[in-house]
Amino acid sequence: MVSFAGKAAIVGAHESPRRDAPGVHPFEIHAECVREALADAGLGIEDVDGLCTAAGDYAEGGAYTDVLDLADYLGLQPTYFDSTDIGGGSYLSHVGHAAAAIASGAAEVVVVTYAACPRWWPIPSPFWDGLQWPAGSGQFEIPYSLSLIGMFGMLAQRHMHVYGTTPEQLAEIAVTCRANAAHNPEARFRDPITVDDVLASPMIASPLRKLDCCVVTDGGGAVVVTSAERAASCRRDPVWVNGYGEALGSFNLTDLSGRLTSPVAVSGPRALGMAGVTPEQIDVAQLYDAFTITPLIALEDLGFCDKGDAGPFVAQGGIAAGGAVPINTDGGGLSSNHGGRRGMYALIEGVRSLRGESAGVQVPDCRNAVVQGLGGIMAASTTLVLGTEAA
Amino acid sequence: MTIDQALLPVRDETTAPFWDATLEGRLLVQRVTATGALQWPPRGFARPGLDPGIEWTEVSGRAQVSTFSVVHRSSHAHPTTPYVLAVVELEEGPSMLTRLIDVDPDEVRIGLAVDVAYEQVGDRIALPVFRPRG
Repeated sequence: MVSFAGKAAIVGAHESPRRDAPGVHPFEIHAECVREALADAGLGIEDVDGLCTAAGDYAEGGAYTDVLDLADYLGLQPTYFDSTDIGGGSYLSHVGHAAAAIASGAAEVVVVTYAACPRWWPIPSPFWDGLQWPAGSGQFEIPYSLSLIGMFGMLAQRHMHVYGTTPEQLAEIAVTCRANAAHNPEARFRDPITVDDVLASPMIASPLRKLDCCVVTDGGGAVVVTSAERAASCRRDPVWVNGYGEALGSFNLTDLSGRLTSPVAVSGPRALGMAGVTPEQIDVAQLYDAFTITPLIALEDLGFCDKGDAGPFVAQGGIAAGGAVPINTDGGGLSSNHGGRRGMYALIEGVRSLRGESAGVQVPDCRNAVVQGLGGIMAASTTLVLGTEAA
Repeated sequence: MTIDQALLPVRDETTAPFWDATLEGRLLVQRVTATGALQWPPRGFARPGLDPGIEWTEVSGRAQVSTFSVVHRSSHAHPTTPYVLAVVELEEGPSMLTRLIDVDPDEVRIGLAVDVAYEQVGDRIALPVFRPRG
């Protein structure tokens, strides 16, 4: 495989400070984020030749030709575009694909953008709180009143059964994210919580309680990816795309119990290998946290601890500020923001960490970051390794 | 019990034999003709080779719970909460997503022995669900 490690960089990033945007169409937030991310890079809209988004899910404003709709709304005529949709981590795949396209010469300045307004969006989801229609293989799943949180609950229940993971250990992840969010003025929730608080919060879908679940916020974010040559003249120091891996796993839920090893175990080693770094060399990890169980499994599959050991790893402070691998330093989806797809926000916090500008807790001397995206019920995975120096 | 009509399974050419059988109280899965391996959910071919050699076979409906979640709150239009989502492993091997009925949610455990039952949810659909054995 020809590597494009260190051939493209993120030179601009912007996260909307919005958490509640009543009556605002998501495409207006795209415009805000694209404009500000380009300004951050010292570039203008006239420099853009590539546009990537996944904007066809609930409360995102688009439909199935989302990138076409958004490009026109923004007044862009891109010659490179990507609307790969593998769920919440799609934007990380867009960055990986854009880096490859830039390295090949097929594109030069690519904007990857996300926005959603679930707090006010009036049009119901056609997806029945699942990710498929009640047809094809979905006819054996959707009629059972699938609940998104129930699906992750079944995953967590199985992890607890097989590996002895406890509700207290899961709760520790929510507590850590909230402690980080306390330092982020824009986080949705900032008041510290304890393990007991999590365990006392209402049960939503066992074993997941309210505080095991992400916040729901309006907002958006965008990044600008460009070539090494172009990055040299940008306003900000480049954050290099040194490693990228993506993988698809099982989508249907019948084999949910086999999903305790997720496709992160495929994408993670690919990304780390491309960047030429080991888990021990990673200074911070921004891990997709829709529910406490998702970063728990990702920690194992990325190699930050052994399979099945993430519970004790977390309980012993492994993910806290100053721990072996601090995670979700802005407060994560569990406390800062989550509009339905957390991937873009995790990516932007990864960029900020390497710039020394974390929104929450800054890891000192931060040189290598992992950003982990997930889609479906841990069915799709995208891993990026970003660095202050080109690989 | 009734469910939102929009959630009713959309029978198709491949899956019609399964739904026809459930109306008669029989549970079918697929067998790969070439290897004898059992397959669920049904498809018009065998994985991973896309071989069209596939046939239906009746199974016992005896299973055990391999994971579950008691759903207390859902944005889903489910008529009653709590309800119990589960994945059960059939004695013959394949696993199915399902719902558990006739059970105290506090009593559900991984490994619980269950048997198939059927809920009539439409004129032509009897939905397989599972209840504790005994």
